[in-house]
Amino acid sequence: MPGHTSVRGMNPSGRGKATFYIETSVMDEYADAGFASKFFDLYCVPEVLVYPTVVFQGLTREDQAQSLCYAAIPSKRYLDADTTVPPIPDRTFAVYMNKELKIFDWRWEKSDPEKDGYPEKWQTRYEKIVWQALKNI
Amino acid sequence: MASLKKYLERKKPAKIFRPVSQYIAAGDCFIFHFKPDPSYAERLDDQLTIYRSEENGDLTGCEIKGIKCILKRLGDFGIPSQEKSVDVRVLFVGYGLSALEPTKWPMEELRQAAEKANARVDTGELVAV
Repeated sequence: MPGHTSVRGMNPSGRGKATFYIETSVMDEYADAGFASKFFDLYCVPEVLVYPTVVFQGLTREDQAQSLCYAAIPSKRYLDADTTVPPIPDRTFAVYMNKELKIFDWRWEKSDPEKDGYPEKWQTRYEKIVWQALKNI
Repeated sequence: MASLKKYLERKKPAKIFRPVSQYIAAGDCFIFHFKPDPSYAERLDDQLTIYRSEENGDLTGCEIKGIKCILKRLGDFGIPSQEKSVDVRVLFVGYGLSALEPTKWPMEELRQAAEKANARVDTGELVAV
């Protein structure tokens, strides 16, 4: 896929692996703008794609019914390429992508206080859960 | 195609921050960040998400979704959005026209930030999708 960077993770079904894509120019723009925190958040993306707590489908807006959100609390947060700290309490990391597995955002969000690794208000923000870790079933 | 791991080994962020505004076609969304603080997202409604600083809770940016619909709505009101690039503040107006119950409180701060940054977004990419 020209102009994209690839990253491997769990298939949304939970069975096997899948390749995900990020538009390279989107990442370049954050880097070239000196938006270091957003850039270094990219380091969390592979872990969340490989070990999600939950995968949601449907972003409750037009044309995004098939889009996906992988969410989890990664083991660490990156301040730069070499410096990590524990994640901020009550935060979950979410990776958003369309049905072609093209990632369009990655970010920290408030966590659901009742369910570790789930973003706040997940019940109304997404249409359904397509996969969740066994500990949450 | 390069892997993300290789990309991150090669690419380094610039030392000086400037506001970022970009349309991301894969999500039909517009993202505007005007402060460099580490941040978290807070969804305000179906179309608007804001970013708040982890350090002090201040507004640092926003994401507006459903840009294709917003451009259509702007056109319905005779507001041109077919130029090569458009002032980001026009998208804020479009959000206000498109959302069923637009969240108004962050708009003035976002407007001021966009004005200060002279933020524009490439609509060539927007209208091409």
